Amino acid sequence: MVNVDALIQAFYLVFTFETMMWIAIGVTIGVGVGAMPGLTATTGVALMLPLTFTMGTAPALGLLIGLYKGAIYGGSISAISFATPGTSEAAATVFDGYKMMRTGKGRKALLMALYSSVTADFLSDVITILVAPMLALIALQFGPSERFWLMALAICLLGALSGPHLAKGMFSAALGLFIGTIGSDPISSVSRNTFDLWWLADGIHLIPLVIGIFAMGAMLERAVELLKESKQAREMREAMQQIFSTKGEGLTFKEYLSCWKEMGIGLGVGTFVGMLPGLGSTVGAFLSYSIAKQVSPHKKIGTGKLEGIAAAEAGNNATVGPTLVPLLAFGIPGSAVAALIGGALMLQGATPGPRMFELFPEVVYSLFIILLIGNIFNLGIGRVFAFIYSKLGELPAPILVPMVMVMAVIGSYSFENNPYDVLLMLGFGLMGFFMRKFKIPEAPLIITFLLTPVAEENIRRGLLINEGSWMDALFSSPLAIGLAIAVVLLTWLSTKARISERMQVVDEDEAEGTEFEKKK
Amino acid sequence: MGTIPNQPAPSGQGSWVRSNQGIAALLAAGFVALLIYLWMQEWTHRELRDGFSLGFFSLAGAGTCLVCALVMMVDRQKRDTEEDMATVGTADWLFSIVILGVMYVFFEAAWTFGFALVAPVFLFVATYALGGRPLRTAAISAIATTAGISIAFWVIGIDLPLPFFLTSPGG
Repeated sequence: MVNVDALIQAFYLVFTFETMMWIAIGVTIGVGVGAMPGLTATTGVALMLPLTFTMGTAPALGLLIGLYKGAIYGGSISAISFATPGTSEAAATVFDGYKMMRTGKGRKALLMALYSSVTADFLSDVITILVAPMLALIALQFGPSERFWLMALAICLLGALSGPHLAKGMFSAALGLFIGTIGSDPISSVSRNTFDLWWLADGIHLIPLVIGIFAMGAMLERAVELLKESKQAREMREAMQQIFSTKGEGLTFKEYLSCWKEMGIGLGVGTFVGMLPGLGSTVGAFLSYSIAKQVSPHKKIGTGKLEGIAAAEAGNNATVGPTLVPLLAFGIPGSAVAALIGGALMLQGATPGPRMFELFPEVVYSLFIILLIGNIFNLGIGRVFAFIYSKLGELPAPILVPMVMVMAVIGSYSFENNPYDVLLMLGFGLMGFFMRKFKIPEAPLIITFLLTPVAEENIRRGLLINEGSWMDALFSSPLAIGLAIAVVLLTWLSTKARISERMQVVDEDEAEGTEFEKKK
Repeated sequence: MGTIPNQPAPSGQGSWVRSNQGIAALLAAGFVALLIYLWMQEWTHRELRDGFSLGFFSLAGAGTCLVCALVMMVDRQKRDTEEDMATVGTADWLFSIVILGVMYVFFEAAWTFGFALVAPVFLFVATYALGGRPLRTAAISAIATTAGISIAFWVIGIDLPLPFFLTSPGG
């Protein structure tokens, strides 16, 4: 049932000058972040997260969701312009986009990327708005043991699907669990795991952790690369940028409609993939692209076709809304960005989960409205400025890297005016650098870090209800037993069937194809 | 997706250490030490009023990390070396640590002498050190970035430290 009062309140919260301004700023920054190789949606959201605690809930959500949507689309701009995807999500767009660019149809390709992104994003948001409340109703029936096993299942899924190496994904999740216990226990607030450092008594804050792992880690990696960058690579990039100056024709409505099938594939695949924890928009884009290629071999996707761009871009943008479904329905973030949006909601005092629909319906409705409105801003800003944004790909890394590092320091400190947060952020930066080099996925760490206190609270509540009996606390219902079996089965299956490795095969095959084409 | 295909460990000194097995062995050693440390702590075994052991989740986290590291040492990809691990050198690690140190010095300096004074100097030097040329571009970008960040934070109501000569004593 729709809470009409809360819906009206949400309209009042969203349709203000302040919220609209922050959505526009979020999309503007997001498209820029996406267009700049080296910056991702996660880095952008992590950097902007500290800014949100001085804002109201609706402007904060507007900034973060706008940035997320903008960044996922923005990656296609540099993918099409220079064959350098600004974000990994846009890597599948390179295949057809860059070929079209080389044949003077760059403008058409950029517009197709924008329209297919916005179409799939909008429709997947509608599905999110329909599905999330229904799932939340189901989740409300869950007791502590069911919630605990659901989180365990999500963590296993994250570990299994986050990268090509299961053990590394699980290692990242376990590290998040360990870091999540630093500070004090969530029920009786007894100090623990502080290494006898008084400033750890309050625990590790989300902001220095995410800024360190995502922003500082990535910038450290880039800074090290800059020292190694050869003159030859610079010359190659300059050559690519010259190609951009070629004027191209626009996109007709008929051409846009002719890609309905590929956009539909992108919408379906992206929505499904977005709802599963651990997969994310990159897998959405590549799966959608591969399916579209197989479904319509006569269209010769991969040889510079609009249909290829439509499938890839619809596939990645369609994950944006659905990635929030597990967060809203079960309190389990499905991706790193969803975890950060969940963190922003917690900073605002609204803990994400099924009870949010009862306790803060106006916040949920505001989020839904912002999801939809964000697409209009994405369309407008992308349409008018796409060609200017493509120049952002030229922003030299020596300027970008120190700029992001300075913002990381200010963002970490300004959260609580605590210099120890800066120290922690720098420490996590080094950890993020190592994780990148050793290919340990970062998302499971952040998500498990957020889930740890909730999981602990649930298991301990279960123990209290069942007078200390672990068996009763863990297996209190057939559903809890079913979920526990699913955890075991999933772990066994992902070891035996190597699901994560298979997911990577699609990417690698396609990536090799692009390299081959580029060499030609 | 940015995935780098695994490759056999490069031959030569230290190649095993760079392989999944080598790194996992180092991680496993670290987590064994951490587990011993945790086990020796009084708080780890303290039982709370609800009968729950205070160190249960910390031990579970560190223990699972150890198990995953051990799995990495024996699984199918144990002999593979990630491309980035194969190319990263000691100098890269040292450089990363130096950068982090410099960032902390920047933080202390900015909050002592004022963001508007320290940030342009830091940004100019950092841009130049990372290969930003010509000098004029590095200087302009340093000033523009400082102004942009200051304005952005002012708009959202976060005060960055003013230059020391503009702040009153004790203020």
